[in-house]
Amino acid sequence: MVRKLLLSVSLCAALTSGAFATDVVTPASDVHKVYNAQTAVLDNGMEIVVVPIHRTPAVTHMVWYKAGAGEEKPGAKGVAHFLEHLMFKGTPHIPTGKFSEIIQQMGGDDNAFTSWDYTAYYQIVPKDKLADVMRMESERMNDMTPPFKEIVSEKEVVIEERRQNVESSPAATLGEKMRDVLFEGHPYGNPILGRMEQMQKLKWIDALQFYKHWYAPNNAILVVSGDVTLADVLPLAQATYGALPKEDVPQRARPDLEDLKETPIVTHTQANVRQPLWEYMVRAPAAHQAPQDSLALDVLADLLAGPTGNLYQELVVKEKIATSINAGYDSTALDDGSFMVYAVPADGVDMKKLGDAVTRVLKDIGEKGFTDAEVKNSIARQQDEAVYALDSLAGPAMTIGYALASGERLDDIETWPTRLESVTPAQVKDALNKYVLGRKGITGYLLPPTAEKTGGKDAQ
Amino acid sequence: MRSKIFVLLFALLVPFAAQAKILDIKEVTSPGGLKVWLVEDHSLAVVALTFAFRTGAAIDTPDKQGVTQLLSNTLDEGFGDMPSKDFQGALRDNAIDLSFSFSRDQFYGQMRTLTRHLPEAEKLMKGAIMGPRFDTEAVDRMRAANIARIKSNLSDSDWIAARILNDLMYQGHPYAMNTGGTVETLTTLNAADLRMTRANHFVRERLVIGMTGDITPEQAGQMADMLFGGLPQKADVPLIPDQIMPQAGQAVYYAQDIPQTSLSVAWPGISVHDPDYYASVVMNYIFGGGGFSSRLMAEIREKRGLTYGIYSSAYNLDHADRLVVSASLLPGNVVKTLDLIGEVADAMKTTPVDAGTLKAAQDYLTGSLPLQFSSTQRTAGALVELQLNDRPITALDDYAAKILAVTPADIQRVAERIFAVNPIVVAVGAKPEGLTMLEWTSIPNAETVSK
Repeated sequence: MVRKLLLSVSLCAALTSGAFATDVVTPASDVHKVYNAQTAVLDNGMEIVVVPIHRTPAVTHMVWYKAGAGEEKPGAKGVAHFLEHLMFKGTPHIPTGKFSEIIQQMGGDDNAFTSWDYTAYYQIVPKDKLADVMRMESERMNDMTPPFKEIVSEKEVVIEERRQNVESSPAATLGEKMRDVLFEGHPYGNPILGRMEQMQKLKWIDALQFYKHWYAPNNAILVVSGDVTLADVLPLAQATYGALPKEDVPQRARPDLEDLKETPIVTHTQANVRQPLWEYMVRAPAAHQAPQDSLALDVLADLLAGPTGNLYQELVVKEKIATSINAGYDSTALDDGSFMVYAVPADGVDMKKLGDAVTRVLKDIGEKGFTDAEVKNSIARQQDEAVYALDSLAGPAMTIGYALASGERLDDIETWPTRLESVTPAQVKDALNKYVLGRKGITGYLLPPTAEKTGGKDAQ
Repeated sequence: MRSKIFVLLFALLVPFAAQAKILDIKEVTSPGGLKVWLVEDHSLAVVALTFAFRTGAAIDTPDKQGVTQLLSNTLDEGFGDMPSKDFQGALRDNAIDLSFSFSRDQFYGQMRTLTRHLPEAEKLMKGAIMGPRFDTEAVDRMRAANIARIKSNLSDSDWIAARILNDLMYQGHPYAMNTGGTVETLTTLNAADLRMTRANHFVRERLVIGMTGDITPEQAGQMADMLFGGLPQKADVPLIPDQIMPQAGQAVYYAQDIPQTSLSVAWPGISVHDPDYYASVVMNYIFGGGGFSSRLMAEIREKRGLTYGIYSSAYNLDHADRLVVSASLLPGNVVKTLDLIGEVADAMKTTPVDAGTLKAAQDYLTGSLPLQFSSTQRTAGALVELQLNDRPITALDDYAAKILAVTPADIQRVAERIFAVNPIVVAVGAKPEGLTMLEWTSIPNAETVSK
């Protein structure tokens, strides 16, 4: 057993360029790491990441599949998410509907979620139940067997999920319309749940095919955070996931994203909308695509966002044309990430006026740039915030799994706060000009019914 | 090979061993006489503080609804000679989380900081508590943000359902008000209102404090004195009466142009001080609180696919308690769902739960408790909630025994008490088919004060 442990560990050393630590090997690098995660790879290719946090006798156990809505075939949109639901419908040893019940009897909680780039399953349980949940999760990696009538009723459940979370929510519907234009021709432009007409066509055979193609140990990442170490987890992983065969998994093939030719405006109006919303979304590189630009965008988003950021101070505090405004950069994606600005216009403020004001503030910074002190402060406070990453049980597993399944490397996640120090004011300014201002993005208006024709006056 | 593993698995499903203390809670009395519940944890250089005063939005008067909400939004907008931008800048540059919140019965403050920024965090929290500026600019800005929030909520069917349910259930009682305020009342509130509301809430005799993380008992006592020592001991505020239960069986519908009906079904609940409280916790878990393990979820989502989710939750206030079932579904499925909810409720009264179901509920409720303390802030919050409910310092360790003592007969008794009356039903969105409901065309205490 010990020999095998060392073998796996040294295997992983080759894969992660020394960026790991275990009970048996001391890390060579002294660069500060956020999580001090320990890693290994099973013989069948399944990656393992463990983040020891010894504050509560509990663990978060997650399996991330490197497949999501982005891997769906044209006639089977929504099937990745439908499959995620069916994964709770039974295996040879776990009857239909019992998976979550068994977890709850442990005192634990479980669930799953699907995005374009991944599908993830998790359980939060007392640490002495880790072996049990690993047996359960590994069984449904290979042996899902939902009864027919469960498939029929679950299709109704996911359709109700869409009605509840998208079609009854004006803001969510606007978001779908914006992505549809910004990511046209790419899976990111299609809703994860699928559109209603796509969901009506969901079929068991498509879910099964997706399962057979993509669910395999060599296309999955096991992430455990909590009161354990790799030495505890590895033997359990070998006995469960390690018993599953390696499979042929297709390469993920995504179409290239193209720049928008113009700057379109999408509007959404629904009878129950009373408060207008303004949003802007533009493609920006993901962290793994352009690491240094991505770090600069992290600093840019930090400086623009929040109540002390330029947008809030200019447009909410000084000019009072918005009641709130914020900015955000999503750097974790297999294909492109995105940069967003979103605002609530002040009473009676025209949408175009608000959009022009946002552009003016951004262009102004694009010319002047930020001072050295502003950038240094931003880096220092983001480094401080990184300490809080360990003040959580599930957070580290969520963050690491999300990033790894989206094409990032563990080493880059661990050293992010240190790498941030390399960002200069010139790089932040360039990132703003190159991506946020330099690329064409999509603007979205959420409007009350009567305001549609007048271009954004609030209905009173 | 696999089947052997699974035999083992089911044999291992025993309740979480409760021999060790769940949390090592110390009660610290500060030099100035303030009581602090503290959990020391020096594994991470982080300190968290949560405190609460035992008065909340229920003491707002109807014409000043939302003043406690606005107070919670303006305390962090500067103090003394430090204006809003400098205050927010200091929080940000030192990575300090500092915020205020409230419920109907409490006003809360929360703070989390790295140990090395603790002196700065204390200075900022003390300033926010003792000398907030309430600058006109900041008050106007937060007023506008709150009015925008209400207007956004006007497209949220669950929010509308809550306004109607509160109005029906708490009619004539302060709890019927909208804690977030109304457009009408927020428009008139000013700095003088905020000063008076602050003085009403912030008194030492109604204060409870929880701290966790990288701080010693001595430091905890000093921090409590520094932050709160300057507050007056007491202040006169109106007493909130206990709520008298309204007429049961009312059914109200509010139209919204969306594909689903958002359904709320409410009964009177069981108080946290009631001898049947722990039985009600177990009953609710089995009925609809237990997520995928609950009977409502099994009947309505899993077997029939009528909804994405159906849940029952207990709302325990100081002067009223209720149990609410909520779900969103197609209007054609509302009647069927109401019938099923009624059948599941009746079964809770008439049929003793089987031993397996009871044990599964008890296993979850006792086993999940230690998992709740996963961050310094959650732990500090739990320390405050225990004190607000007047629980002894050993309450977490006593909890399992109280849950395990609940019998099938206790569950039947508590179900008889809760489901004795016809529930109040509120439907918002698409019009339920085959159901007669009183239709309301305005939302109480949203834009204007409900008379």
